[in-house]
Order: sequence, then C-alpha cells, then structure tokens
Amino acid sequence: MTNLIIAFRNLFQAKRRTLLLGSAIAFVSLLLLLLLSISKGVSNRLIEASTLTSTGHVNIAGFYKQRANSATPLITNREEIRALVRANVPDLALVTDRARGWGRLIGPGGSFNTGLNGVILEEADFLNEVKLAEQSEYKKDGEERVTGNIANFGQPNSILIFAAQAKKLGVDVGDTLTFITEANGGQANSVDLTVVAVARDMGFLSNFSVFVPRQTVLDLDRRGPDTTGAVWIYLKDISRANEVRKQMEGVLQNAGFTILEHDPRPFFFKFQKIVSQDWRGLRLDLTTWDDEVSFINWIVTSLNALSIFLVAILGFIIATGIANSMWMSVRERTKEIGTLRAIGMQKNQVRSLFMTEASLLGLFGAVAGSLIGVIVTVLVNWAEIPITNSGLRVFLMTESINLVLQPVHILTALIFLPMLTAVAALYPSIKASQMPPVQALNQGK
Amino acid sequence: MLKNKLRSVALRSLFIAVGFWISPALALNDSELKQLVAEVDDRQRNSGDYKSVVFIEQTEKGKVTQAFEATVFRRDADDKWMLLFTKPKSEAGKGYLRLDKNLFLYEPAIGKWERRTDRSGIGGTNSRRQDFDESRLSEEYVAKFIGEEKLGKFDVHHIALTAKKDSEVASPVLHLWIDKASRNILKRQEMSLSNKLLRTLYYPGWDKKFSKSKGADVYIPRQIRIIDEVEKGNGTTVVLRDSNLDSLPSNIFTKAWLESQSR
Repeated sequence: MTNLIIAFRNLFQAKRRTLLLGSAIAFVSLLLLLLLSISKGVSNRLIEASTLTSTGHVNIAGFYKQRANSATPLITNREEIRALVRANVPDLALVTDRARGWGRLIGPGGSFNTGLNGVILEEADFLNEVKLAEQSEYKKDGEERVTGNIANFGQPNSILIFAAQAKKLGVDVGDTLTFITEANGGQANSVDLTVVAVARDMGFLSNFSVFVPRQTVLDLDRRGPDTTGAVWIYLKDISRANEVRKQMEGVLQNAGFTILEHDPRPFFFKFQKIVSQDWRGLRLDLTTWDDEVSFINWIVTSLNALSIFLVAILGFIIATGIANSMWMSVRERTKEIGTLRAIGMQKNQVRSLFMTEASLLGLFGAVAGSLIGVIVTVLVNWAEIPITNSGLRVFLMTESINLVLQPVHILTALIFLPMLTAVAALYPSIKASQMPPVQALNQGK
Repeated sequence: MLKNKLRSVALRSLFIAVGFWISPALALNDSELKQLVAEVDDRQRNSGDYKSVVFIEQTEKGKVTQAFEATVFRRDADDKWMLLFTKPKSEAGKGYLRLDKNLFLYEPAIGKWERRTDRSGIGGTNSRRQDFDESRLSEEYVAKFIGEEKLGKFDVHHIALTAKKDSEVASPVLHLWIDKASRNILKRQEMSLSNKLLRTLYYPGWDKKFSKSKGADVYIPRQIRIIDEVEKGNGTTVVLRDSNLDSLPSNIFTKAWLESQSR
C-alpha cells in the first residue's frame, strides 16, 4: 500500500512525463481496441453473411456419383435426413434445405456465373433479415427508395439479387433475367426469372449467390422432390456446431448412409477430389459454417495479424520509452532511493516501487484509451459511416464501418498494457534496487 | 385487260393449289430423314485421324475482340479429341483433352488439370468442344422433319433433332437447315430444355478432302459463325485451315503430351 501511495505521488509529481507517457499508452490502448473491434465486426459480419447466404451452422451435403468419373453436389433422401435431424438435435433452431445450382445469369447489361440458391419460402427466415437496397444503390440516377418487395419472392420464377449484381446486369425490380445451366445429364436448360427484390450487398459472399424458389432449381435441373443440395441445421448455440456435426455423422451412419471423411472446405473445393474417387452412389459430407467459409477466413486472419503487428510495433516503442523514462527517473531519484534504503526499505521493495509506478502509468493510459475507444465506437456505429471504396466493402463485408467492442477487448487492454509497462520497467527497477544506500546517498549530493 | 387480269389470278390460284397438293410429297419420310441425318454424319466423319489449325475470334459487347490460334486433333475411331492453343503467347500451351468421355482443361501457368463440361465454352468463347468434333447426330438425336425452306438462295431441308435418352449432348434440341443440293449443314440452332434459343451457327462454306482411311471424301467446314442468342452482341467466328487427315503419332492424346507442349 505504501508503495502504491509513493508510486502514485511520484507520477503526480512528474506531471509532464506522466502525461506524455500516459497519452502514448492511451493511444496504443485505443488503437488496440479499435483494431480488435474492427476484426470482431468483420468476424461477426462473416458469420451473419455466410449463415444467410451460403451455409447453415451445420450442413449435411454430399455428392452423388452416377459414374466413376463424375460427381454431382446433391443428396437424395432429403425428407429422411431432415427427420433424423429433427429427432436427434435437441437445441435445434431450424432445419431447412437449399437446392443448389450453378450457371450463367444474363441481363441486358452483362452476365456472370453464379450459384443458384433454391429456397423453401416457409423456412426462409433470412428473408426477414435481408435489407433491401435503395434504387440509387444500383441504378444511375435511381431514386433513394426501395422499389422491390420481398413479399413477391416465392412467386414462380422470381429472383432476389444483390445490388452489385443488379448494377452489373443492368436490371431493376420487374426486369427479366435469363439463367442458363446444365441440367441433369449435362444438357443445357434455361429459365427466365423476374427480379422481385434487390438486396443490399453483403460483401464477398453476396457476389456469388442469387435466390430463387426451390422449385425453380428442381425444374431447371430436372430433379425429383426428394433431392436437394444440402440440409442446413441452425442451432440455438452456434458454438456447438462442430459437436453437432460429429453427432449427426454417427446418427446418419447408423441410419445406413455412407459418410465422407471430414474435409473442412466448402463443397466446391472438393469436386476434383470426389471426381477422381472410384465409387458410385450417394455419400454424405458434413461440414460446419466455418468449414464452408474457410476460403475467406483469411480476411479475419489477416486483420488479426495486422492488429498484432501494429500493436507489437507500438508496444515496442512504448516499452522502450517507459524503460528509458524509468532509467532517467532512477538516476534523478538516486538520493531518494538511498534515503529509502537507509531508513530500512528492502531491495525488493525498491524494485516493486518502480514497477508499481510503471504499472500504474500503464493502467491509467489503458483506462483513458478504453474510455476514448468506447466513445469512438459508439459514435462511429451511430454515424453509420459509409465505405465508399468498393474493394474495401467486399473485404470488410459491410457497406458502413461497423465496430464491435466487447468487454473482453477492454479487459485485454487493461491487463496487457500495465503488464507491458511493468516489464519495460523491470531492468531500471532492478538497477535501482541493487544500488548500495551509502553510494546512492553520496551520488545524490 | 380484265380478261388478262382474271387469267393471271386464275393461274396464280392454280399454282398455289398445286403447290399445296404437292407439298406433302416434298416432305421427307422417316427413312429418308434417317438417311439424310446419317448422310450428314457420314460426310463429316473420318474413320482415321484428323488435324486442323483453327482461328477463333470472340466478340463480346463492350469488350475488346479476342483472337486465338489453336490446333485441333481427333482420333474418331477411339473417340479422342484434343485442342491445343498456340497463339497468343499468353494462351500458348493451354489445351483441352477428352479422355473417356471426360473433358479436361490444362492450364500451363499453374500446371493444373481441371475437369470441364461439354457445355463450357472453349477458351471462354461461344464455341464448344462439339463444334470441333465429328458429327454423331444419328447416334445422339431423333430427327423430325419440319419442312422445305429457302435459306438465302439455297433450298434447304429444315429438320429438328431431339436428344435421345441418356445421350451425353450439350444441346437437347437442335434445328438444322441442310442444303438440299450439297447435303451440307448451312445453319444450326441450339435450344435449351425449356426451348429457349441459345446459339445460332452458320456454316458459310465447306471444304472437301479425300481421306485415305475412309476411302472417300470428308467434308470439313471452312468457317463457323456462332451467334450467342442470349447475350446479344456476343459471338464467335471459327476459321478452319490446313486440315489434314493423315495418321497422327499414337502417343499424342495423353495428358503428358499436352503438358510437354508448354515446357
């Protein structure tokens, strides 16, 4: 306690030094929090976008091989699999399935290859979560109002596309698009689809998906009603996804299905491997949501790596500053150290005094940085600052800057920075504690 | 004057009536139709090997026209097919190889083989593998006679072809306009299963080459003009040159040979 009071007093006496170092530490703390909140924002957005557009929390998909050198990403016995999920997953939030197609979407202004998601309207909760784009977002001189109506989705041959897609295809709500694909057997098939709604972009993932009623995909592919692309399981607790995947593998195996060895990649990366395998019939492939988006996890990984790199550099600079400042403090306060030692203060107490001083400085800086961080986060999210650069929008998977600051981030800053400053002050503290009292008193004269 | 007019009207009516009366006789019956399709196949078929240089020009709306040069190799007896790009430099060494009814694409830049379907465009153009392959219409399709028509200055048979069950073709429905005089295809239209017109192909000229292995002439299109009917403004022109029906080395229809061409 005495140490704490002396350390506090010392910091108070060296106001200018405390203010300068404290500000630097607060800046590092703020930067750390902002980087963590950007990374968390992107990570949350990735989960949100992926589980809306391309994957359930757990997916039961698979491949059907009619002959050795072919593979179709589809499963049969859809109803049976869905029933097994309902009977065996206790914390099930929703079970649905998506018919999958792949082909070329052609509009008056352009065309691109895209995945076709066949949605069961009654089970498509995501439609309530999809935000529709204002006309001005995808049409030159368009109005600043939403022209589509999500309620029209589900009409035969209706299609929901994203704003960037509408821009590329040169279409608006009510226009017709042509989708060309290879039906079962490899023959060309096509359908004319009416755009009923244009949704706001969801970054990278929304580039490769459009939504149509399930029946449209079945008709295009000439497939039966008991087939589908993948059965999607949504859980009340997403963190249980891997556990449920393993559990369902056992359940399906017991029900007589053959399961492929777990390969944590999206289904489209597995084609070549499956095509080269020598078996026929149906094999199921179970994945979790993060397996299906593993190919874009690099975004979160690189953001984290960048955060660590920046904080490490700034941390090093701060640590050097602290060490230097403490060393100067030791030299300036040699007489004080000698006096303290002469009146009976032990070596470890002297060491502890300087380290406490540095830790306190780190803590004050971290607290100040955290407070500013919270204010900045609230203000940035409130302002909904739009991201104007399209590449950055795709990278961050959001239209506006979205920061997610969690208590654990603040706790990290409050623990990490005092520890860093304490470590930085270790060498000067040891030097101070090892100073003989007589010599210290003489030097201080 | 009136008499002359009446006579002219009467004569025209007579011609029309005769025309209607004789038109069913112009329709091909089933065996004639089968024979016609078989003849179209046979005229293009070579029992031995085939090699030709092809120039492919791709036009796309709002984009710069692209041009490629490639060599097509065929061994019809074994159902083998290969296309090797030679120009431009950026595409040289890239190639397609058909093995056991599977089509593979080799990308020398990354040294990888990828499986492609028969519907995928060759080099991203509107041309497909089957445009460069031998004709197997009678094996793959069931023909229906549509009528006698005039295509420009040519008298043609217009026939429709529907893919047989289990035949592995990209186009489920075809329409062909066959020159009555030369028996060469002049126009071809490809539909999707939903009967949407996808591509129109014109064959403005055919070359005739004597095949030693067949012991007869083989007809090879001199040029194919492909019009994308869905993405309006897109199209491909294929020009075939230096066709050769001599035997090819036995080892060329392999992945190793194609890979070696880019080393």
